Amino acid sequence: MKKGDLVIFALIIIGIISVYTYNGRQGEDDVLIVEVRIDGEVVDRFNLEDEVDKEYHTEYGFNHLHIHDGSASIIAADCRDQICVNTKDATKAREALVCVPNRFTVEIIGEGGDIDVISQ
Amino acid sequence: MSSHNKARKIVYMGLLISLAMALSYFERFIPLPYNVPGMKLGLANIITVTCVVYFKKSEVFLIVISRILLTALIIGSMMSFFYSLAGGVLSSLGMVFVYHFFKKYVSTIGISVLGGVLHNVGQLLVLSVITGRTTIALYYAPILMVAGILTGIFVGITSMYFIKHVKVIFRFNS
Repeated sequence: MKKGDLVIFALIIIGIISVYTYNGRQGEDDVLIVEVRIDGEVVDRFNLEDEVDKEYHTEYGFNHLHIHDGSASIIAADCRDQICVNTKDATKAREALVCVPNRFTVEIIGEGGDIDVISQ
Repeated sequence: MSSHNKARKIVYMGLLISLAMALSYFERFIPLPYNVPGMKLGLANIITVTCVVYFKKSEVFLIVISRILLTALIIGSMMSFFYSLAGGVLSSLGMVFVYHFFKKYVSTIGISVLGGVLHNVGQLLVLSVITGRTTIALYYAPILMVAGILTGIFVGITSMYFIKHVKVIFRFNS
């Protein structure tokens, strides 16, 4: 370990902290929306409180989305790595489930009265 | 450089590429505590760090790109190719830059930590292009960068020993 290593460490840690604080900057949101995207296009929007059990068959592959009791998860997929199936359930705003091989993303978006105030 | 030396160098480059491919294949069987897209040990970075120390700048990129292309052809997919390419090119750019300009001040640990983190940054850039959402990439960024630091330390220590022991072989009269 030399001095330069510590500089690299410090720069990276500053980067991590700034991204982390940027992510947490938005306040808590009232309504949580589950946004399903395939290849970057929004295909479905659900309320996180809904009961949803839907299978998506696309040209990229197959994913089975399940939403119940305010938590969203992918319970089955035909992708090879199965990372999306093993990711922990998304329950809070900005949490996401991503299936890279099938270009399938599920993102929880907070929509509330105060989000407009922040963006103005 | 004599033609004998050139041939030797090409042979060693081939050996290092195959070593890196074997490492990136076998690291898939080591389970990780968290499931985050793109998170991996990055054992192939041991080879890249060694190349940064022993080979010329252009040769490092040749080795990294050939390794990624061959790995994608044999065990990967189209998607994983773009991810590895963005990560690999960005991380080797960073490591080559730091090694050549700040050689005196950094050890292999610093170089490989930077490489590991830049690899994740490159992958997140591709993720945000593919998903069309920067929020997802930003959500994963902190945990992936922390993982990059931890695996980078491990990879850096391993490369330190590897570099020490292959010193005898890699004596090019260039």
